[in-house]
Amino acid sequence: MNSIYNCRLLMVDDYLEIRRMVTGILRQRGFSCLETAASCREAGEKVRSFRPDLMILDVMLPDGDGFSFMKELREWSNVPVLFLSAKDEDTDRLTGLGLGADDYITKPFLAEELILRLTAILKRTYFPLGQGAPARTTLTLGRRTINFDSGMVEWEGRSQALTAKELGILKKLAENKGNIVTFDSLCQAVWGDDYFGYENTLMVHIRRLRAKIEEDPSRPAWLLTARGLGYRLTKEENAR
Amino acid sequence: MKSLLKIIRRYVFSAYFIIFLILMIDFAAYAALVIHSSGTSSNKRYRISEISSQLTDTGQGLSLSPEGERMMDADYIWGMLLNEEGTIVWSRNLPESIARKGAFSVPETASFSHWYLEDYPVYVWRHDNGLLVLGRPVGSFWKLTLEQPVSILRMLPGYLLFVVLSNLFLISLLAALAGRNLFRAIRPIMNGIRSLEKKEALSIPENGILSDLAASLNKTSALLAEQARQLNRRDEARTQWISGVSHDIRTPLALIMGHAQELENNTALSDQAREEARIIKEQSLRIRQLIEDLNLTSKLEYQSCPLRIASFRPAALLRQITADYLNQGLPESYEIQLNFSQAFMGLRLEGDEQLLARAFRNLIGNSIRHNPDGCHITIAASVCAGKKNCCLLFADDGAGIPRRVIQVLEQQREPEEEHGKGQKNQPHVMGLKIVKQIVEAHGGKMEILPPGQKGCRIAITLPF
Repeated sequence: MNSIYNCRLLMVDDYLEIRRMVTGILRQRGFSCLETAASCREAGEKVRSFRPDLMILDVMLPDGDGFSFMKELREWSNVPVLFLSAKDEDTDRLTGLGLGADDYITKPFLAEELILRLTAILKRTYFPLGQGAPARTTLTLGRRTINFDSGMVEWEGRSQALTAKELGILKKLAENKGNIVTFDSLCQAVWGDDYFGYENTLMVHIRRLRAKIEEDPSRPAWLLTARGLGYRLTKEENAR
Repeated sequence: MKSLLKIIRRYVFSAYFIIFLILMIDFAAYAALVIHSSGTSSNKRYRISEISSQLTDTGQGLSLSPEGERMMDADYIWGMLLNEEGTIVWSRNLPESIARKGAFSVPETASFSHWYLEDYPVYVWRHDNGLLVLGRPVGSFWKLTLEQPVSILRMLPGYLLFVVLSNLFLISLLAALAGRNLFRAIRPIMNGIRSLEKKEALSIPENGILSDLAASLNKTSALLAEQARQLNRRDEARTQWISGVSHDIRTPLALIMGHAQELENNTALSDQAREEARIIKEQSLRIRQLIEDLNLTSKLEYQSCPLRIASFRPAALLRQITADYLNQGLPESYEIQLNFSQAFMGLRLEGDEQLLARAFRNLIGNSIRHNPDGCHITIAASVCAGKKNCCLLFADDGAGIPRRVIQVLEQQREPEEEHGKGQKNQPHVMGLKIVKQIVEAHGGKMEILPPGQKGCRIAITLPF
């Protein structure tokens, strides 16, 4: 298996139309090894014969419920499970996740959401960091490149070190590039849960960070302020 | 304890009043009798002296004037005058048995002067010629002489005072005891009524003078408990029904949404067909939101939605919600401004963060949805330390909330029977209703303020 699209997926739902629709969506997105089951018994047989890499499991099935089935399954198989159910109570969600499911999606769902969650599980399980594509450890902002491994800002053969706090702030912003990250999220990322009172300190760190990554820190082009909310790292195409 | 004192005080005063009233009536009756009898008696005294004065010595012997005879006949049946030796020197209508005696010795005179003469009540008066004796009919008058040692008479005021005081004490004591007994009998009933207020089950001992009342209260309590059980069952059934329906709708809706999305992404279709598919998907998402709202509002209404209470920062939550809206690509025609006081920034609240986030999102979402041409949204928050609550104001300068929506929200405070009327034409207010329910579930208050120049203003108060 060299790609998530080669993963074997088992779709368990008693509703034929749903099985057809979901397999159709998956096939259209490039997944080719698909199998379906309409009951717990059939699902158990398919897990043994088809040996899926991921199972999409409904909760209400004609010969039992998905939770009990998963409980039994976990005694002899570790196949990742994504619940796809019309049961939307918090308790159902918690039961499913508590049994060790990798995710829980309620019907009706957006196809994109299903695909994103499913690929996230597959990547996490079969292509963790280091095994698949190399993790992105650099960030390019115009002429400057930030290397998160070394904690250095490099430009035109020169380099300048970032402090641990500046690096933490920049990482958080880079993870949400293009989006506003609130003061609270930034402070929490750097100082942990008990962050209240660090807002002013955060401003000092942002000012220093701008001095290192911006061409003109007084008119920042990359690290922008969202007034009253937090900061945002501009996507490259939006930057001046 | 307060009630006991009240009852005792009332009892004692009532006892005093009753006794005072009875004494007054008795005294009045006695006074009337005395006045009547003394009037008669003084008349007699006057008359005997008068009669005596009418008995004169005419030189030919003693003679009673016609006026004297009239006076005498009015009250007496016979009369005689005894001289110094006790001999009868004049008489009128004297009974034969007395006349026969002719004279009375000193002991005999002393004996009858105060009492009776041959069973005739007799009255005497000193006359110039001796002693005038007048007799009334046998059995018409009862005579009594009162004699007491003077020493007892002297002690009388003190004795009377002692008697009055000890009577008052005894009356108070008995009244207080009666009051206490009544209070003891009433206390379980009082406690029972208080328990009824708190919807607690009752089991009052059915004995004593108020046993009937206790039995009625026990029955009422059982009836109320049964009604509450039935109401709970009904509410639960309704919540489960809504939950079941929403569950059943989810699978077909998933199919509609999934296929609509596939059609929307199908490049082989015409732009118009894809646009129509997009509208089907959007409306399906709206139905999903409505199902979730319906489920949540029914759970909140029937208190079957337990709050997951935890400590959180409302300022951070509001910043995150605003950032989410902006990150999701809010058009530039919308602007969200946050005005937080310094105290609010550091405030921690105990509450269900997810539910409150839902409420805040509903309010911001309403401003965006109902103002398609854009608007300026302001979220102001401050802390009222004295009242131990925080005040949030969600305001926009858009179209405002229709009066009808406000009316419907207000009506929903009324009992079901009231607002059940004419629901067909009611606007949909589920979003605002959920906000209200969530805020109230946290012990807070939501109020739609009269708009300024335009737009809508919603104030929320949350305790901390």
